[in-house]
Amino acid sequence: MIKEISEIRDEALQKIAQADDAQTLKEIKSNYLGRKGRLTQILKGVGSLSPEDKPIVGKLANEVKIAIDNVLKNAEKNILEKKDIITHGIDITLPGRRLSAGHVHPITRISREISRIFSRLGFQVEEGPEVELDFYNFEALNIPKEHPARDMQDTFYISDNIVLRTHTSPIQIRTMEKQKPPLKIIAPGKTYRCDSDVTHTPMFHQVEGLMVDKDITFGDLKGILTLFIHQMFYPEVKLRFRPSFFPFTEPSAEVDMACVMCKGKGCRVCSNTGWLEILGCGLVDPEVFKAVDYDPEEYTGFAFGMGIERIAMLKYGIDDLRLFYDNDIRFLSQF
Amino acid sequence: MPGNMTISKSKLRGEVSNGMLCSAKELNISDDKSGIMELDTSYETGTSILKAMDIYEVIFELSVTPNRPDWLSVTGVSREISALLNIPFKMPETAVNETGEDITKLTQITNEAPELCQRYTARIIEGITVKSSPKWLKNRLESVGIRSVNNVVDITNFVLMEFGQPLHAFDFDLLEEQRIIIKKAGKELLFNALDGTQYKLDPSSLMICDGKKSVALAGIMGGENSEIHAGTTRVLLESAYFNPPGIRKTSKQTGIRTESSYRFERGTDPDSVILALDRAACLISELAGGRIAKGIIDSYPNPIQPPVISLSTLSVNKMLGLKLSSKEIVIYLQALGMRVDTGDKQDILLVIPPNFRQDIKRPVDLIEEVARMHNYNKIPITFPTTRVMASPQHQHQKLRERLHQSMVSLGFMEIINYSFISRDSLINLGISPDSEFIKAVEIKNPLSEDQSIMRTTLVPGILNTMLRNLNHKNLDLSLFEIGKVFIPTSNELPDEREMLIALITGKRRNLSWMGKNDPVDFFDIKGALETLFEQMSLPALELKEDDSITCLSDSQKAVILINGNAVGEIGMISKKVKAAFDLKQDAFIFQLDLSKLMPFALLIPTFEHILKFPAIERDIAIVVDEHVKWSEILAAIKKIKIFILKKVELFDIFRDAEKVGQGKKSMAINFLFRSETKTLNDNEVNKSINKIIKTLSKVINATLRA
Repeated sequence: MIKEISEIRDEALQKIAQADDAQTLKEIKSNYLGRKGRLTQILKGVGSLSPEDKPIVGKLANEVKIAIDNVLKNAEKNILEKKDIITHGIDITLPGRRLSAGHVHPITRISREISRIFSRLGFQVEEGPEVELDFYNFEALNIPKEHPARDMQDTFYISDNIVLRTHTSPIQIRTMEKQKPPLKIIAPGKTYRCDSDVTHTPMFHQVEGLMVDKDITFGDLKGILTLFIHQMFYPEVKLRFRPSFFPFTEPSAEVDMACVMCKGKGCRVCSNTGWLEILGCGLVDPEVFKAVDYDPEEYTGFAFGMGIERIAMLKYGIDDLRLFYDNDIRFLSQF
Repeated sequence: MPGNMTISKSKLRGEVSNGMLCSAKELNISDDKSGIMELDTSYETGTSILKAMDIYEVIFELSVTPNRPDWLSVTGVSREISALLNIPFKMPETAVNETGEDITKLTQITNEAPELCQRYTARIIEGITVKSSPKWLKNRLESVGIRSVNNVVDITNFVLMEFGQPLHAFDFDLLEEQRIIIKKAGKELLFNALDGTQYKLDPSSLMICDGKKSVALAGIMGGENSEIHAGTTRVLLESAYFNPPGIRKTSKQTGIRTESSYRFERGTDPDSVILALDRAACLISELAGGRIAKGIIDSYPNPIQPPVISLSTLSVNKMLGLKLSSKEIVIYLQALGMRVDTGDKQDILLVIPPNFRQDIKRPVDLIEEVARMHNYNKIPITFPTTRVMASPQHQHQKLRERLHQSMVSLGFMEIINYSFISRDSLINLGISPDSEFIKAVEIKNPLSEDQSIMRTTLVPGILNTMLRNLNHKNLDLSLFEIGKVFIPTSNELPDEREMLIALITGKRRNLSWMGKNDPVDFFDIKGALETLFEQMSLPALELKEDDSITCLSDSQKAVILINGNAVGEIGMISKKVKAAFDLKQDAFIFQLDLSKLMPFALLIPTFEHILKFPAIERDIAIVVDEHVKWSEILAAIKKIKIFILKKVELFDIFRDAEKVGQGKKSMAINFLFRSETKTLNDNEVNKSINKIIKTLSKVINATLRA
């Protein structure tokens, strides 16, 4: 009897292993485990065995039944899967149907990132005309006609009195004319200078910032700009404030950041100085306050300005300024 | 090697080469590139070439801001370094040995324009020999980029670099009546300068004249008629202080910019006029021989007085965020050559800047000096404590941002073009040179014809971008730009209008292994516009054919309307424009004027209930005449006012002369019905469909296709 059971087991397992379709498996199941199956018959006959044999044979027959059943289930599953692959299978390595993605111009990306950082500090985004009166672009910013400081910017003229704005600073004046302190603005936009070579395009972008209130100090200017540069580039990047000259700020400063490429060791990008000039700033000159009817005795303020292209070049490692205005989609699609 | 070139051992024509013979130019020693540089045999091997040839100079190149003309000289920079590093500063030797006649017996000076020439001083040296300068002097001048002329002229240039005080030497014997008159040009408006050019002057230009004629354009350039030449034996040496704006005006008007005018227009030191004069006189008598006449003529009718500035130490600390004592501030300022007195009040300092610091006029100028001396980097970082305020974002910024976001989400790439274009590009768009649309804001000094006017349309920019990309084989493009156009007005400033332009061209999809890929057509750009409208929650758009749009194809162009208001244009670029811009494939564009869109944009959407009851759909196909428009069908259906009809969609157009009929088309339409209050039954829907069919047959002569 025991021998017969193990024969049945070996035979059944062999047949299952050879079966390659669901129908054969079904037949095997009915042949061995079905109502009239061979193993079922044996199990049915266990009752008539001697009390000694009964538990041994019964146990064995049951174990074999479970084993065959398990193997059968497994085989069924495998066959089903195989069938599925043949009839419904796909080559998942084929390229997908892609939607064409849009892209934001890197200038817009950086300009927004700058505006967002300052917006979180409560700065209001302001804008102004690109074709501007001499008064707003120069005079009110303490750059009178016949002043050598006008040489600092090569100006496009529309008429003697109208220019393409050379910086975003006229927005300061226009905003202060309309609003009384306290004042916190950030002013991004297009600017123009008649200069075109490897490092200059006749149109470029600037962001201007201005904060006016009672008791604003040079230390506050350093604080806000340090916070900004740390968020824009990376935290703890080293900064250096150098004296400089702008007609509309006094004291004036330029801010250098430890070179992002070489971490201050010196490389081609920073001309081996380890430093990168990043923005100009200073405390608002009292002459500017007088031009907009603010009392310089009562209010102080700081202003700063930076080139967006320069920030974008440093941030993304772009080495050719002209790429921004070629609008080649192989460039644009990288951002 | 100069220019980072490296010369290393290599094989040349099969021979090992250990080096290279160079010209002086290749070594960056001089401009001599005539051949290999040959050294004198007297040099000892192993000596530094710099030392042997006496060309050793450290040259600092400084970029000096316009507010600090006092740094435009060696002594000026030294003086600053001395202050910053607290080390003593020594002036060059200027003691003059006067052995000649009394100067007042030789010449006289008349200043008729003291407002433009505040100080004029002169010395005369007689019996000199003009020759070439010694090597040290030549080397010094060449190292700062000044060409050596002769010993006298070289000395004036040397002293200019040394003191920052421009000087001029006249051949005294060429001055008629042997005197100097300082006056405005008046009627004598032509001047032959020593650069060999004749200049036309403004009557207000300040001239240095002799008894009869102009001999120098004051502070800018001397005249040909009185210049130092080989035979000159007597020299009148001029050292003056000219009014900076006056010099700048004349320099700009004549276009002459010299080392001299550069310094005068920024402001020289009226106090070093005599020092420089003496220094030059000493050097001339040393290098050219001769006797220095006794005395100086010094015409200085109204001596320039430095301001007395009262500075509150409190305000210094308040502005800088520092806690400096009054004593520290005094030390900083004194180091810079300022005279400082303590005033009556404890807190106030009375500061008199030296005359070479003409940039210092106000307390705030002194505050910058204190900050500089203290070192900006040592000022502690603080954060402002200020009233919290936040104004809402400006509406036009919000609209721009939303449009921008939508366009990117629709798969368009943002481009940024220059705001200037060429006049030709407007003509290329088909705008007639006589029409008012050709008017534009013109740039007086453009860099090129291509960038000579401010754009009045974004079309040329995006078409040129398309061309550049096609040239690089980027053939499938979806581009957009949001930017200003500049429309001339009767006001001083133009109207700056913000526009959105979008363009598509090429294949509909990226290259793919799946199915065919058709080129884009009008309905792709229209679809993009419709989706944009949906995303922006704008009212439904209407298109109206319009002939006034010049750059678009007659058969495929329309004005975009919202509630009857034109907000933009859409269509295919016309064949003519396509050819004018050298484009090899069709392009479709739309443009929107942001200010016209504004009244309909940014509205808060109102929620509509989502209907719970099931919908019933019906499809019908009708046959209509070819000329019948979809909009007419929609309008006819709308007019029936079937409230349960929620959606009408066209899903096929079929043309076949045999099956449908010549000049006819079959249109398959899907209708969706849903009630707001109950579940519909077939009967109600059939009734509505019948009503629709009846109406369509009546209004547009439609027949139901079997």
